[in-house]
Amino acid sequence: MHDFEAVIGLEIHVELSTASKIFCSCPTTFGAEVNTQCCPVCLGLPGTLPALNRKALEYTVKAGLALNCQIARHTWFDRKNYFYPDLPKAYQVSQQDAPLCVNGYLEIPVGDSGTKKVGINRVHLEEEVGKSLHAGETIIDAVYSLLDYNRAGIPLIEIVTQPDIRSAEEAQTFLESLRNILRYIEISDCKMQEGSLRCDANISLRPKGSTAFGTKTEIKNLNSFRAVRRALEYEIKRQAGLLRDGLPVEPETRHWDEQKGVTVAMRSKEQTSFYRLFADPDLVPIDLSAEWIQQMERELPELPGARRERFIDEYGLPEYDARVLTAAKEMADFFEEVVKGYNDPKTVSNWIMTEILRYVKEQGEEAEGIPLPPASLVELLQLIEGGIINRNQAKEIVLPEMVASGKAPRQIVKEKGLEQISDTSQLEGVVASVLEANPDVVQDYLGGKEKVMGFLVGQVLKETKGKANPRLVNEMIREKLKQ
Amino acid sequence: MTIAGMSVVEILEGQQRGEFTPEEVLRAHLDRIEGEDVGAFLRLCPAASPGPGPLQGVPVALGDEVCTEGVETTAGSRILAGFVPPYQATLAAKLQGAGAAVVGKTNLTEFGMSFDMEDALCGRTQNPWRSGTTPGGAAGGAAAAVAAGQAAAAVAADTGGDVRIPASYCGLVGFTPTYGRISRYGVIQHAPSLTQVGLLARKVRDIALLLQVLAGEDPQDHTSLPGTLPDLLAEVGEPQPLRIGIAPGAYKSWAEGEVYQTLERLWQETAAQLGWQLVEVDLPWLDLAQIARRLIAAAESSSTLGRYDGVRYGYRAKDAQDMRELFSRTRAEGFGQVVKGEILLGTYILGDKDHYEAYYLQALRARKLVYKSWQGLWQEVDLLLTPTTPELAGRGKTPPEIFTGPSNLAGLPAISLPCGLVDGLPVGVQLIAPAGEEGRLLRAADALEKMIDFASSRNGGGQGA
Ligand SMILES: [Zn+2]
Repeated sequence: MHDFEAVIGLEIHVELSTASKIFCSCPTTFGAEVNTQCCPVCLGLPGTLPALNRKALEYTVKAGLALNCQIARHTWFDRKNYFYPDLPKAYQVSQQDAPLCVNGYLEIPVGDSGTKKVGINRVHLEEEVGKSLHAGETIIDAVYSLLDYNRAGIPLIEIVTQPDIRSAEEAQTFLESLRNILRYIEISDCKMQEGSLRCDANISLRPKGSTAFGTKTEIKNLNSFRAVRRALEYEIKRQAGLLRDGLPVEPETRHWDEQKGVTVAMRSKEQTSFYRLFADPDLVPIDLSAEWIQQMERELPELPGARRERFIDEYGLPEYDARVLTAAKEMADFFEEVVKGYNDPKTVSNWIMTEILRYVKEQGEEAEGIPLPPASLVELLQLIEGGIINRNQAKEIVLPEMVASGKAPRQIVKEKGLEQISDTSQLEGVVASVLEANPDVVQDYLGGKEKVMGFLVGQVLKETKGKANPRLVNEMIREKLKQ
Repeated sequence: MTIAGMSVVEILEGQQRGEFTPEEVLRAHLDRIEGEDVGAFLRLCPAASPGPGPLQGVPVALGDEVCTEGVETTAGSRILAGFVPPYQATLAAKLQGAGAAVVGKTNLTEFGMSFDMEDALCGRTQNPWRSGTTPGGAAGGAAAAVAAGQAAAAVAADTGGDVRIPASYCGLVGFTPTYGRISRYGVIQHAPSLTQVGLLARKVRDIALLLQVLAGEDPQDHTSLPGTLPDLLAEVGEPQPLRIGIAPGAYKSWAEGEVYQTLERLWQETAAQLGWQLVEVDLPWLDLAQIARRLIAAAESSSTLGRYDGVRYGYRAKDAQDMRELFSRTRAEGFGQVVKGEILLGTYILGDKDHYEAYYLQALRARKLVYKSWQGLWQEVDLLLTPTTPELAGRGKTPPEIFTGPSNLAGLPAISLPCGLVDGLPVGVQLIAPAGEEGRLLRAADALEKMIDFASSRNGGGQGA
């Protein structure tokens, strides 16, 4: 029986978050009413011509630089010709022979502390197509199809990895790291559920130790990171089963069925058409100067790896904390903002990694970010430090309410009447009655049993419904029993 | 002299002297359109009205490949029947902004894909010089309109001689500027890398005036040229000593005898007076250029015309059962034979790795060779002088674009002037200049035009006389 190794390469499409489309001035906002964000140019009306949006070029080059790619000094656009109703010109402007960025890599975490470089074959710029909705299974047997061209012409980058990924889990980690870095450089919002990040996977198996490539299949319709991992896990099992039985793996495109949790053959790869690619005569070739590329490099913000190192150096955080905090730009930004107002990095880190992260994870993998402003967490930490509330109250009562209602912690504390009683005159009576009611315990304490102090303090807290400041109560009891 | 038939300059000067008003100019041309049916126009622009500006009151015809907002634009094809653009071609907007009156849209071969006006699908256009004879194509309607005095000037696309060939056949000045000089935005094209927006008029000075208005970088056309032209009109008129290339060997082998003799007489009689030094050159690559241009045009057409699929606008096949049938029947029913042939050829040469290598890549290499040959030529001469067409209108034995196509391959400016009559039909002479040298070209053409005095050489054969 063979032991197989998976060989996985990913093709990722990412919509760039430029304000306008790649060849016209239509807005790119998601979710607008159908066919309201299009014009003669992105509808490909007769005689119209593309006017290149330089921002799209900039964003692509920045993506390439962040992925350690070489940037082409001379590049151009090609026409990829095919007929489909959502493709207004019957060709997609893309880049075949001269991608803007080539030969890069992305370092991803593996295991507890290791990393691995996944090669980036290319990053090229192209235009997004429209969206079709079929009244039927496919466009061929649909009774009718509806078309929305709002999306047509949004700048899109295609990122193709080398077949360096070896497991479904690694594929997911790669995508998470990629999304993180693209969000860091602010070129896309990378929302899989809105389609602004899409992924196809190529996968083959080979006997462990072999360097040859097996027959690969391409998996499409992967709409979430979870889907990518599950589909690849399924496909690894499926291909391994075929190979063990001595059956061939067909070189085909397979569709991931999320409901059934299986991949289904779509069409044979042999049928893929030749796209009649040739250089688009409506767009002049582009020459990029070394100065311009350097300028783009200078404009790049601090990337996750560098930020992680800085968090360790500057804030004295453990490696683990630094990695978790920098795994999402919003999280790292949030941390730094909170530390500005509450200068105890490790305490802030603990709060984020345990409490805040829990709320972020509840939102699922498409997290919109941190559910509260940094100033609120600063305020909460100050309330604890000032003895106004205790940690448990903060975690169990105030924070959930902050997330749910968006109210400031101070207001919640007031509304819920949570302020600790830190006024000795208000506590004198309670302390006296607790000591009176527990003469045995008092004797134990006086006899040297320091531990029973906890019980006495607890009794005072119980009497004050948890509002008494425990540190103060502790001091008061000690003082009283000295006499 | 009646107003219809005047040059642009004459119309502007006449208005300035108060001899007639812009409204009278428009009326005179519209009357001519009603009075003499040469089949030039596919439709008139009902809203045509002259305004103030450097082309105030000048009636201009536009080839129907030029998109006009609110006016049906078909590029001479059934597949665009009923298509009314919601936008204006940049050049149409510039003409209107300069006060010109766009009188109507003129006939052309379908998508401008044939130089033979007999291939036009939207009716026959006559050569005003001789009824029953072709005006040449693709811009046959535009040339016929100007020659018949139905417009003072016309604008149309030129991908290999589409403006200059009909200019030659109809006794007009036809001009293509450097590639990108006039915006292609809103001009329906089939082969964008070869398309230069061309001008038709009676006089070289008219061309200079129009070019001044239409030239300039357009943010909507990525291939448009930056920079501005000098004041062409002010510069036109000074004869300059120039080295003029001629290739008698090539002309003799491609052109019919009378055409060649007309040209030979022209350069022999005028060169010395113009201060021109004639330099004999060789053009061994004419047929190579011809084939390369043809293949590149077909390849680009097969892609550029893909958008006419019946989904969004234009003709749509009735009762198609599914997407494939909708696409194939819309295109089978909507396109004419010539266009289908070109699309098939283009699909063939791009649609397979071997064909791509053997035809498209070869054509691109040939184009590079031609480009280099032009570069070499400009070391020896300042302008090249050629026949515009190898034959008179209607002969149809030799590819009519043999002398005009090579400049499109390299995006060079070129101009055709009428230089005489053979058998009562006009003969054209073409001057070609290096890229960016419109000034040199127009100055030389203006000087040559004065030597020719074509107007008085007319012997009554043309209605435009
Ligand atoms: Zn648009």
